[in-house]
Amino acid sequence: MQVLALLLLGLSPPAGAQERVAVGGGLHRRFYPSSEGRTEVQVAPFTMDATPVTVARYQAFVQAHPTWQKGAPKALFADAGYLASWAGPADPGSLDRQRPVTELSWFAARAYCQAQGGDLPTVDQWEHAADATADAPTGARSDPQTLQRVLAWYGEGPGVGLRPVAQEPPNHWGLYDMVGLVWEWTVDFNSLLIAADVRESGEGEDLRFCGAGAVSATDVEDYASFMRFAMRSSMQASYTTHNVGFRCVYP
Amino acid sequence: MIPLLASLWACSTPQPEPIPPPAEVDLARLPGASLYQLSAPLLDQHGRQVPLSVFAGQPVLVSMFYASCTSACPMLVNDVRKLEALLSEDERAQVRVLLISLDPASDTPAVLAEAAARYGVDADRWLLTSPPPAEVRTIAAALGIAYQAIENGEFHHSSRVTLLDAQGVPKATAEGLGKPPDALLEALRVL
Repeated sequence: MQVLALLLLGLSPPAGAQERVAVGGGLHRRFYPSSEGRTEVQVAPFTMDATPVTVARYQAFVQAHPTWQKGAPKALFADAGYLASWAGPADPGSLDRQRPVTELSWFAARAYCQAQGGDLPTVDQWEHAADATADAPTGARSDPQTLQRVLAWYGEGPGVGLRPVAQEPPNHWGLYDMVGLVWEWTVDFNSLLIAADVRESGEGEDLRFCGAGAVSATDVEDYASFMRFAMRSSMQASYTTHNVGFRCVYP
Repeated sequence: MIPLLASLWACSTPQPEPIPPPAEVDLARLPGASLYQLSAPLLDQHGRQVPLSVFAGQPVLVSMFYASCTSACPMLVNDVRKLEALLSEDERAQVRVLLISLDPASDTPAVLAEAAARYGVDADRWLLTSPPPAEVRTIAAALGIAYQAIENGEFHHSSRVTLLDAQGVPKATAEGLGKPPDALLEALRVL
């Protein structure tokens, strides 16, 4: 049905890429343990978009849901940068339709996923999916070459134009662009808070605002993961950013 | 799934009559930044269903908590009471406090009422409430509150108190426990 709709719109998924892929479950080693002594969490199998959501797909969404067109959302749900590069309410203008859609808030990304019958991935799901290498379900986080590549991308900084999705080989699950293209929203991006329900809340604040909490992470070598967690904890749900996109998961 | 949860949740409502917001606040014309753009219904400690905008028309201190929390939440309540103690009686009479649970599965009206009694809060001006489970993360996101369920039924969460004006627009926040409430106090006095 969705394929049919895409064909009718004259669009096609990236060559060779499935729209959604199955991600196997497994024991995920959390970068930040949720409490002392517990670093691993069981992630159940799930289905995930093979690529970040593209401009073309988001355009189809806003055409069907005018409350999410450029200029429409209330300030609580998206800041003034929402779809700032778009030419009109539902018109991406000159943007490449196959690049990831960015400049959207957590509320907007979540509304899109829920309209497709899914939701944003949890941090655990996202990190588990991103830990796959080209040919194994885990290991990317501890692979020096992968880390080098990720850090090189993080080091590019803003201003580098966004490429179309699925230009690089997928990982073990068939997921494209988990790193190297855009940062991605997670449903519980606002879950990173260590030891702040307790009186030593100073530690939690150090983590959120100063980055000093890296010492409590499970693997201090993994600076790439640290940067993702720092990015997440710096976000507010209404923020729209030119380098943050998203993809959805489905039950 | 969500409608099912919502109806289960509604079934536990002893008195489902919502309390309408004050007439002087036009909910159809709220500022875009108003928290009251969220339409989540809440269950309060008296078993009533109230809208998130239940205190529209008055300044509100809003935060999130859960009743079984023994460390940060009592301190957070204490901080809000200390702030209230700095107000004159007239000022205090205007202020409302809205606490929203992170743990609606546990925080039934009876549990909320017990917590309200334990905290010794002014029940005319303080509401302890539970949102529908599916709305917890949305409300937390809108308030900029970070939280995470941990294994033993507890939650890590940030202790953030937000002052809303009569229209529900955030005017000041205080983050962290046991800190001087200067910013909130100052903002409260100009409302």
